[in-house]
Amino acid sequence: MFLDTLDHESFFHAVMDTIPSSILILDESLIVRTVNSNFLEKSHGSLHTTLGKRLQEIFPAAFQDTPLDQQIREVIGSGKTLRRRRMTYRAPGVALRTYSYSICPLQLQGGSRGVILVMDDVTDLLQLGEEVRRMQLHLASVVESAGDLIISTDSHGAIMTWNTAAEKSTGYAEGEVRGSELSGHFEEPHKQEVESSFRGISEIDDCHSIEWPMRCKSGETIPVSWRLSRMTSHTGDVTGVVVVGRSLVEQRAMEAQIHQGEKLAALGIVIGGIAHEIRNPLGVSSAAAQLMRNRMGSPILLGECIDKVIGGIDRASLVVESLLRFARPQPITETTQVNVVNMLKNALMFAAGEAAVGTRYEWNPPAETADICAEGVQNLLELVFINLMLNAFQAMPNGGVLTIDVRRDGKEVIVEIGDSGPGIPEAHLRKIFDPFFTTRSDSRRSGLGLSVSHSIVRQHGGDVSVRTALGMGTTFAVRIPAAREAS
Amino acid sequence: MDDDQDMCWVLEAALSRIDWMAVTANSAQEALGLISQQTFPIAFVDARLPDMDGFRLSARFRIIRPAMSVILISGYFLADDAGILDAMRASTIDGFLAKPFQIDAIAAAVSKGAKG
Repeated sequence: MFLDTLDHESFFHAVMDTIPSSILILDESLIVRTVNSNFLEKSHGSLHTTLGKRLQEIFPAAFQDTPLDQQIREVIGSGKTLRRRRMTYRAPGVALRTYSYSICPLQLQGGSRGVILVMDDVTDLLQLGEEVRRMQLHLASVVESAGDLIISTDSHGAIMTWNTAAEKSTGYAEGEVRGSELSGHFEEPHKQEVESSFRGISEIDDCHSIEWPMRCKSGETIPVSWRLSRMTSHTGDVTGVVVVGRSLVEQRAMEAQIHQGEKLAALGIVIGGIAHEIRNPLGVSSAAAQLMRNRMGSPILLGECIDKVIGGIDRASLVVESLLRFARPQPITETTQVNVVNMLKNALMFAAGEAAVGTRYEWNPPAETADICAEGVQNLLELVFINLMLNAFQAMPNGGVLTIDVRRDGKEVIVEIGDSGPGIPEAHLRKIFDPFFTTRSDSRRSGLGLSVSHSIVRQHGGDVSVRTALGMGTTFAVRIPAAREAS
Repeated sequence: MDDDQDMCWVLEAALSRIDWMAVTANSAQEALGLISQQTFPIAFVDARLPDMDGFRLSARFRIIRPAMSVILISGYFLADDAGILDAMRASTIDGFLAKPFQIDAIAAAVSKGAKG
């Protein structure tokens, strides 16, 4: 219908001249019957120099290695179209150009046959393709040689690619995992987390990393820190996820090594501290005993000597006991009612030796606190408060004030031991209950005191908290269960 | 000087046995105060005081009172510690006693070191 309204000749020329390819129509004798303007532009020719010429005459010698005339004859003979062949144009001093061409059989007027030859210069396209391929190869080699695990998945979390680092870290080759669910490589509860990340795929952002230990082929799991980022199509749809993981195996090993080194260094300090702590009272006891030998005649000195001997041995024993408590925390089985005020007085007597000159530590407990009793093991609780008081005194090497406060709070007893020392810096607060943590470079304390105290209080079912202000002082608050009412 | 009061008591008792009068100090600060005001023939210094280590305190004594003998006492160091040997060589200290020590060693140090 529509064709009836067309002027065929002008339609033909319009089509010929708008198609961005070179078009020639040839007859059986390979004589050019028609060409389009695109061909004339490309060949720098004119209708006058082209029409009626044989193919060899108008095609430069540079094309001659393509048997174009033979192919045209075959198409005319067989009536079959020859599609998308390539020929190259090699001319001296000109960069190699590549053309894609097709030859289509054509019925000419008067029953003779011909062909239509359509040619396109695809040099730039090919170069572009080559570049894209090179880029892809480059990207692929980057992904392959990266030290991080780089995994891509589709939008449902099925694995599409899996780089060499992922193979090396997990033992699974790409072929074994392609198409499987990524979440299947994680143990619960992390598996759930991975799955829910993919369920909320549009929420995924690559600003955060998350640690999900990954299961290896060998059955063991390795610590890996992951970062997820969405892949989106040009229309903005999420097409998949790139999952980049950094194996933390080496980092953990290094941390463990550093930690081990720190522990050993700490152990050295501890041992030094212990030596000092034990040899001091031993020195006192030994010297007092030596004095006794020579002074059997002086009853006053003799009495003093005996006190010192016993006191020194007690102090050395306390250090050893602290060590053993730390080494072997025992569950608490037998508890008694402990009078808190009396216990604190004992502890203060023990610790007072550490008080620097100019320290005020006199303590007059209010009358209403005299009957407060805790439920626990007397000598263990005493050890806790000796340690807290020793710490308080040592925080005040140039003197200061030790405060002691006791009160009932429901079913608990709260004891607060405070000092007016420099306070504890923020950075240390996390670590003060760690075994061996001490800020004393002179190793007078092993760094065990607080950790032992903490574990004793926990064994009693209580807890220790700390309030501190730089330059103002520090207060440790110990909560322990109050004595059960005597039935 | 020793921050351990009992240790000071021991030294005092040991010295009074050989008829020496001792003055005790529990901190480096206190000791420096005493030394600046009076002359002493000999000082027994604990290696680890709360406010200064014994080596540094001994070195200051050397400057303030060059003639005074300084004996370092410690439960922390061993007699063959590099720090001790260095201090002996540099004559920052005149002698070293490890805790626990023999009372007689105190007397020996006094008779050897005190030329007063």
